[in-house]
Amino acid sequence: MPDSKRFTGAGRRYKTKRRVKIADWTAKTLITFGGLGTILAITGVFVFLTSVVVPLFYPAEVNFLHESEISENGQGQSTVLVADEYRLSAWSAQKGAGRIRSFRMDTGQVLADLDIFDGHAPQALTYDADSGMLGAAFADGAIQLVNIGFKTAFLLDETNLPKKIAGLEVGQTAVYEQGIVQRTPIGQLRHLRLEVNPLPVIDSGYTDIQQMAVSMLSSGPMVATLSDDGMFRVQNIVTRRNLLTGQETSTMSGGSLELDLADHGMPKFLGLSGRGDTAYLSWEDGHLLRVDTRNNQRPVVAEEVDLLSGKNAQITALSFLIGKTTLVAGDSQGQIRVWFRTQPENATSNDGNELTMVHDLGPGPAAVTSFAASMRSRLLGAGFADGTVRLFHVTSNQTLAEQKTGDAAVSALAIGPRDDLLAAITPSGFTAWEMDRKHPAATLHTLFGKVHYEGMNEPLHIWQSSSGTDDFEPKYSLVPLIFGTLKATFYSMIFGVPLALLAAVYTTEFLENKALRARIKPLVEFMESLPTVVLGFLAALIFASFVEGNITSVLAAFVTVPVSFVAAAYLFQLMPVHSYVRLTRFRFYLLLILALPAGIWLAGVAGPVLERLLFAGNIKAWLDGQIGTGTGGWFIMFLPVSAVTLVFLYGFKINPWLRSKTANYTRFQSGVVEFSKFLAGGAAAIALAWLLASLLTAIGFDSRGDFPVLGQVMGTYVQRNALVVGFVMGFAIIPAVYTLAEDALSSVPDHLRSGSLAAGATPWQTAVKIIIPTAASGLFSAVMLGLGRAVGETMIVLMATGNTPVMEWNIFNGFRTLSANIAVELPEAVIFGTHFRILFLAALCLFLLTFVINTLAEVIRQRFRKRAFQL
Amino acid sequence: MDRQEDISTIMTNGKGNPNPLFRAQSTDGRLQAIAEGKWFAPVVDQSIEKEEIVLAVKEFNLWYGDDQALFDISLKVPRGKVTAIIGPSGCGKSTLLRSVNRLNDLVDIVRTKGDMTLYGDSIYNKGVDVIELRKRMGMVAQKPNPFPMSIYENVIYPLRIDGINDRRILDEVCEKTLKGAALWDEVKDRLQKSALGLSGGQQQRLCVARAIASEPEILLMDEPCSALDPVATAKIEDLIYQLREDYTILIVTHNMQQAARVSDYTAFMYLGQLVEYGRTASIFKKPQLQETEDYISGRFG
Amino acid sequence: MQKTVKRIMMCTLAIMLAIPALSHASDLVDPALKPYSPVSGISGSLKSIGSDSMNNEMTLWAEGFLAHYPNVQIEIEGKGSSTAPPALVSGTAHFGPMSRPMKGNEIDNFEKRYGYKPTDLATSIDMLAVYVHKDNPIECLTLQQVDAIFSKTRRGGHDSDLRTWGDVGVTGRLANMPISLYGRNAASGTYGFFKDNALFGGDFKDEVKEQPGSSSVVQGVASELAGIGYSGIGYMTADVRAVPLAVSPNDQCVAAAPENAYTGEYPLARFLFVYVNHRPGSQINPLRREFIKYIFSRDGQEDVVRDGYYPVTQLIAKEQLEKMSIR
Repeated sequence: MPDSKRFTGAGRRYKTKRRVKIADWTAKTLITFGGLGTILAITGVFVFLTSVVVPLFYPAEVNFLHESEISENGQGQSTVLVADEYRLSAWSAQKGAGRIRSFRMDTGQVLADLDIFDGHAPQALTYDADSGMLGAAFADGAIQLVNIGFKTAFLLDETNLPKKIAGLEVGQTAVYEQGIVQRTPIGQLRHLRLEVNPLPVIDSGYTDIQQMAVSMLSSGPMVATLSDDGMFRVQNIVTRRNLLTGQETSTMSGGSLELDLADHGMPKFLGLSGRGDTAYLSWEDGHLLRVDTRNNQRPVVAEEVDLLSGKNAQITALSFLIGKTTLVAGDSQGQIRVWFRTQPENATSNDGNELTMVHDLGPGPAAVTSFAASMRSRLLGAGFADGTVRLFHVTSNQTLAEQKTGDAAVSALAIGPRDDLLAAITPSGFTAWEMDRKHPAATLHTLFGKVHYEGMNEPLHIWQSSSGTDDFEPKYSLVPLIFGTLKATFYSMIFGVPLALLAAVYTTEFLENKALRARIKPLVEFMESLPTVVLGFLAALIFASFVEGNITSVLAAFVTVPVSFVAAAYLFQLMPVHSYVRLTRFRFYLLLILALPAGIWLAGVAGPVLERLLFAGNIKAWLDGQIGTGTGGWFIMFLPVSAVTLVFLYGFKINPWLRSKTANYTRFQSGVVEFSKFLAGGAAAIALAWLLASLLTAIGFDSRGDFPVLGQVMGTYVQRNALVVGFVMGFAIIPAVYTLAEDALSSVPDHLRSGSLAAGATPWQTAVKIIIPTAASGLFSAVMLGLGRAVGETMIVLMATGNTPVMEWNIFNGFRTLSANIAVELPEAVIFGTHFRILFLAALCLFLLTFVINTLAEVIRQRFRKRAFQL
Repeated sequence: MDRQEDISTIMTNGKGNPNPLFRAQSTDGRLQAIAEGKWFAPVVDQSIEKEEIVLAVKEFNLWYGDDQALFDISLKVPRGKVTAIIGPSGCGKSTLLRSVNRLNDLVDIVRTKGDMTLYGDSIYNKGVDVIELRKRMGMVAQKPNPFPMSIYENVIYPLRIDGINDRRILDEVCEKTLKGAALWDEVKDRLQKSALGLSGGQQQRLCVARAIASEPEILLMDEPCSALDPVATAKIEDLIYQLREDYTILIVTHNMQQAARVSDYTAFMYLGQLVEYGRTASIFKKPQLQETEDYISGRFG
Repeated sequence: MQKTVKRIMMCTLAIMLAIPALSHASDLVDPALKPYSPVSGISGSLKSIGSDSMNNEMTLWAEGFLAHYPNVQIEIEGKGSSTAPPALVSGTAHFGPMSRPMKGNEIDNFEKRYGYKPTDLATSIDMLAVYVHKDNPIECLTLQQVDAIFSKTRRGGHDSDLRTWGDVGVTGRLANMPISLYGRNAASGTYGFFKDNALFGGDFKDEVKEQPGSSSVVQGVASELAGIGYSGIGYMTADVRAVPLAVSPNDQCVAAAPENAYTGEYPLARFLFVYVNHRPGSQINPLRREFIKYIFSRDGQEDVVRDGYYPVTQLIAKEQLEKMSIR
């Protein structure tokens, strides 16, 4: 170092201190980790969500389990096959014999061979899988109902058991006392036995019953029979148990209907619906008769349907799905069709319902010989004449699996009670497969497309995910939820964003009192700290009922308050210059104290008047479509449009003309001209809007009706609606938008502002022409932040809407968002079940939605920034 | 005398504001007294009274909070001439200029006393509409401040805010003012391009064009060339010289040679007071006060 | 619905509910039920997760139980019946109150874990009432009408949709007002029961406003003249009335009165269950045993009445205790 005279006397170190270097390195490393960690965390969330969602789409797995030969007992083919829930044994019934047998699945060893009808062979045999009831009708007119099921008992005292049983290891099985014993994972011995409980014999007195069907209603069994002579009869047996005395009383009631069997002969199939309200008689040639049995004392024919519609085939198998509401028909060509009743508007049948073909499960390899329906879901098993067995999921039209058992026709088929087993009986023996159905109810089509569910008239988007019973079919369309999220976002942005942006413009451009400006910002941020639960609660309990009581006044307030502000401004201008300039500092307070209450009062007065004029006196009834015409609705929608049109008209045509004519008017005169211009413009806007509204009504479009998009905005009024929730959600996003917007606006360099003001521009002109365009990227970010918050808002929606999954833009009814739905349903969903994974899919959708919106926003923002960066 | 030896003398204006760049050369007289807080009546050339007066400053005072920046300034700016205000840094010339179009109102802590009139119309009266007032003046700032718009939109901005949307009028004004600002030839082919793409000198000329587009009664220029290179400076000075017949210009500059070149009248300010005001020729050749002479000859400042 | 731990809250609740109901309490309870007699050596903590409808009941039982055993700690959470099975499976709760029986796959999950099925104890009887605003004059509704009002599938067989009160025959101010529907969310056993019995297995309309708790349904109906909703009879307030129901158009209207629940005539009567994890053949832990004995004692059943539900008979109580091998 040159040893020259130093200016300051001190020197400079040229080597960086070690400590500083280390601190530098540490900070750099930590920050890099933090940044990378953030990216990793987000990616991790995404990967986790996807990993839970992807198994939804795995295909079902069906793997071979057992094959065994069952000894023939000369009684003919089995027509009924039922497996137990532990996949150990099964029982089958042979029609001609009246005997049932239970046997081990893995070896075919017969466990019990029971003659349940005392040696009599039934003339008609039917089995109701839903209730486990076997029904038989005999030649002497007796009808016997038998409850058959596997019962579980635990063998607690192992000391008295044979050694072979007591020595069983976990999972091992052995035959014991006509049943099977297995050691459970926790070491207990579980004994599974077939239990047969016959009900008291019913002496019907009809001796030639050929066909029979039985359903178990909550009040007791219901039996439908068809006799040789064409008499169709139904009988209900109602049993009530008095809980105090324990006594049971039974009553029987029923009626009959005479059928003409001359054309088609004896039907091959008789079925009774699960609720006992309809009976189906079907012939081989495809002819089907549907009988309405709701009034069981007078059954009537409801309609006649052709199941084959002209095809050259025969119906070979007919069955029901779980709940016995949906009919499944298989024909000799292997085609399987699924039917259920719908209620179309122009039904031709006697009871307003029509049997409609809903699903076509495609052609098969050979004639269909047997069906099996799952007791838990909408799975259907079909056995064909060539030994093929197929597994379908009916609602989503999917063929899940196909297996083969030899070459002989499948005579009976069963799906295990837990949906984990598929079993078939053919002449060569018994075959069983283990089944893991995975999640057949969730396909991209069922999640995002319209699905025709049982009982509905047409394919629809429905979200109704769970219930308390088993025979309910969960409906998982995400579309109503996505729609709800968009609706919530839309309405809350309409309320929140303009207020927040205008507030930011006011505080940065117009507020002269710097001290006040410094205080406003923390106050707005205080708004943000209000818990959204509280806001939702207030919305639900207070705002909702207030708005409901004053609907038209609230709607009117949206117009009268801004108008009264503007009118006040015009009137203010009429004041002499000196007072004007002196008072201009207080104009904010003047507006607050004078114009705002005036606007609100005006709204209160205008409300009932508007209700009479526009909504025929009762807005709720009007919204419901009961009274009045659509003119009022159109008027409200056209009012902003016509106002804007008039503003443009003024700007381009009228203002220049006015300016030239009034160039020499005094200040006061100009003020009067301006005010009258405002009043005239307002009146013109109203007139124009009314004209357009009447025009549209005259053409025939009703604003409450089917006009695309716009027509949906006004519909039936619901107390918890999008207007209230949108307003409160807007309130919640205002602080976020305001803070960022205010930052963006105040960071515009002062010299631009001075330059504009020096050129003689008013603060508003400066704001609109210079400041806002410069701060555009920041403002855009602010709006996008608000959007992100609105999309994810959960608590307010949860508490203040009815969480109704409707797909309407109607501002007067509710919605169900993805976020609120997840909050409500996740705690109860079975972990890793279909519902659970679909909720994760909803979360993934939300995640992707936010991600896409934010990326788009960032791209646009960068483009805005490029314009302004040179400043 | 060795200048260095007087460096340590730090001048204050009696209120405790140190101004270390100040080095009083003369130990007697005005400047020292002014620095100590005494007020002196300015020495004003009486021939100014014969001219038509555009802007009259009448005993104008200004405070930034508690600190007074301008002390009883009285000044008359004649029509159609270029009037320059010179003085060392911190003497209040920019403050005075910004007070003319009331841009100081934007600063919270500013307080004023006294008045100014523009063609007889008061500027600081209670009932004055500032926006209308500003429309009658044009301003060019120290740092070029083109708006983030096209060149065309920048120039005709004052007309747009007046509500004039007639394309023909706007085109005419644009061409005329750009020609007046000696910028037309350089930008006539790219009027729709962003003004931010121009060089510093061009931007400043654009600002001048914008300022004169509204046909102002007085054109205020606050050190317009201080951020520019010599070539651009020369162009601006030419421009000012050409504008002088049609416009009244009040220019603040710390470059004395510039003042000597372009202005007709010159005012010398020191620490918030007007010291001497007269024809440029006289001020520069034979000023009435020794202090003025000292400043001009560069003995301090 | 909220997690209740503070004893003060439970005391106040009990007192508030006790005062009006005390006069009735003793009449309804089967005289054959014996009062509860405490034993020694009982301590520990109990946790119950499950039905919202049974939340107050569990609280009253807990309060009564704690009066005998102050050292015991009891935590109660009631967010809906569907929260009980997972809690029992994971062992997070000792008791799972449910206002509906467990579904097949819920039982499977339990069995998969433990090898035996969960034990259901029918602890009290509830009537599900259909509430309307107190100024609504409707006299009777058949189940088919209820189905047509609440569901979009109308499996009950009613011909047409019922949208306004005029469609059900109400005249006057209400005639043109659309029926405003309130219901529970899908986690609720009340929801499942109503769907199965009143909607005949069909689906609710999209317009039913899902409320998080039984009392909020009643609140909603009380606040709207055109409102209708379903909830347990124990949640009735003075601002609503329970509409008498008929099973079909041919049957009589049955009011939601206690005697009708026992005769089986009121169509929407149900058992309220408490599910426990009881290994067959084993002896249950003393703390839980005593709690269950308390539930089925006279004191416990009087608590049931206090909450607005109906007690079980001594026969039923005995049956339930047998399931747990408790004598």
